Amino acid sequence: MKKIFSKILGEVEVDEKERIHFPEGILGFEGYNYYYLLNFDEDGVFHLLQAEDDADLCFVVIFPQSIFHDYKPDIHKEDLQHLDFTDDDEFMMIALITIPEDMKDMTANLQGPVVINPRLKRARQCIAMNDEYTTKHKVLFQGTSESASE
Amino acid sequence: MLVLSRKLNQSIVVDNNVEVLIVDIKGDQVKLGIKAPKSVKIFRKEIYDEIREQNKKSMAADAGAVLNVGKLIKKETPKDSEKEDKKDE
Repeated sequence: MKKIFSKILGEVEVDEKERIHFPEGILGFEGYNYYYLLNFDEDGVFHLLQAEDDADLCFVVIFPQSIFHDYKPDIHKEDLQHLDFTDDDEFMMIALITIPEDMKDMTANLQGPVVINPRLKRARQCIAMNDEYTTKHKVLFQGTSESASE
Repeated sequence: MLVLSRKLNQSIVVDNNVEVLIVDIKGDQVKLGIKAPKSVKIFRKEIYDEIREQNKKSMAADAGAVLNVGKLIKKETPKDSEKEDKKDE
């Protein structure tokens, strides 16, 4: 076990075997190549993607399909090749969340999902080639009460 | 940066297998046609810029807010699960 520091969670014990390698980093944060996916939300909806070497560099993330059930990004083959997926590998995806001042307006970036090969613990931020996804999809479904009663 | 002048219907070839053709020119807009193998990824540069900018905004800053996001979704998801239940009926 190893101790790392998180701006959000403070000192956290992590298992180095769970460390995720981002060979290209995350767009805008190139040079930070190692992250941990940490739990903090008891319901397991939200997680924290925490950089190993910088306590300040962390992102709230979700497994997008847990909220956007129909989410199906079209990822370019070339991106997948970087992650060396085999037929037996699990395909894991996370989406970065932006929390604005009014938290209810928080959004998920479905255009730039982070794809992870859990076997290799290797990840890459990809670009969904489908036109319908943007960098800002509302996470909370306010106003859906009406459509739900249809 | 290499700068080349091209006219309508002229093209350039990159690396033997990527061809960029000037398909149309209207005012300040140029339409490009790109012939490339499927293994070549082509995106508008704005998409990268947008994701980069959004990533910067996504950097978690406020521990109070982050630690409370779970509560928000708890309030909201029952509606969603109701919807799911109805589908099953």
